[in-house]
Amino acid sequence: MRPILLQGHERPLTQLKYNREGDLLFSVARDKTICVWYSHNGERLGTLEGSGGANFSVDADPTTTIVATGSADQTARLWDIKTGKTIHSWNFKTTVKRVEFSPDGTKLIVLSEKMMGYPGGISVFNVKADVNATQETEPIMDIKPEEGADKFSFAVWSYGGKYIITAHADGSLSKYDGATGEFIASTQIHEEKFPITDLQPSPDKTYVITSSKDKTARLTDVDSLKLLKTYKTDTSMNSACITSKKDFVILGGGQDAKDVTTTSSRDGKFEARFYHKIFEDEVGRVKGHFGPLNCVVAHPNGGSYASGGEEGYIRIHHFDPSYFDFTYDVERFAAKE
Amino acid sequence: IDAMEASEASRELIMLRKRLLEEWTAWRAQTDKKLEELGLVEPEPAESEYTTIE
Repeated sequence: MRPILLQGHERPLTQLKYNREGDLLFSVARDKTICVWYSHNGERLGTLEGSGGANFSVDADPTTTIVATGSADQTARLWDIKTGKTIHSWNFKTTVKRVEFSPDGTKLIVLSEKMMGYPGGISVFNVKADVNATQETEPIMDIKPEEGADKFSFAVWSYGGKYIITAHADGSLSKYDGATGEFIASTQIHEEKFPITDLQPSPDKTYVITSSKDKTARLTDVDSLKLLKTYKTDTSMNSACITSKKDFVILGGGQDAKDVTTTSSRDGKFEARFYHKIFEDEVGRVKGHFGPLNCVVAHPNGGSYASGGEEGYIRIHHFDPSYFDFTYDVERFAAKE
Repeated sequence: IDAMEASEASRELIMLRKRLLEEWTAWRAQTDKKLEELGLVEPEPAESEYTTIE
């Protein structure tokens, strides 16, 4: 599993995202560059130029026509992938931390941060995946955290755009109606004193994985908000994703940047960790980064994954045949039955 | 005795994994059915057109 090293950022990576087919990988970091890469060979297709600050989030619409980004310049932008130019921009009062297209590509979640007297929250916009279309300037709904709930950190759509699932700084998850924005339910998933650091849906968007500074990643069913699985590690986790094809989850993290000077990369725990999704066992690790892993994402076809580090590098790993051959006895028996 | 205990432990582990796998498979079957009823079943993502780069 020889990795491909992508060097396009000067600052820590903040999010990686594959398009629907997985032929392209988008990357954003705490710098102004937004990169688009060919995922099979790591060649850079181009950059999206014009962001005024660090970027925290990126997503391509299902037809890979336009890209949305969220930035510390307090904008959410839409870009034309072909030309790399901004086609629309929405202004907010604070940093935009998350953007995500609905599964049908007609709506966009924009999560702005709570900061200095501004409540932040989630705005949902109608969008058209057409570079010549005029985009709507006003959101169709605004969602604020419930009374007493902690601020939103992440938000994703569930299957069919039915729900919006949000992660909070206090380790809880909430569920909102995807059509009306109405609050449905909330549940404590991670330990309260530790923030959730990532939220990603399963390939079919019926369950989600979250990672936390509480040194775990966990799976939650979106319908019942029931905790399904817990993956325990020995260090704080920054990101987690669910692979297709194999029943694995991939976790990334490592010692916090502020503590890194006290340790060598050897004991910084800067490895991607593979866990069996159903049995919760750790099955393998992949080394390579020399800082904490800030983001891990699984290729939609399950054949590879990418990780982005605090040190500014991205690594793409294509899996060897042995990865696909690995099964537990009980899985082999079940497959035969 | 150690071997007996070890085999007992491994038997329990196998039984546990068997149960976890059955539970998961049953839940997934239920979910797949629901997605199908909602008309949300997406075609499987296409097999990769490229091979592993060595």
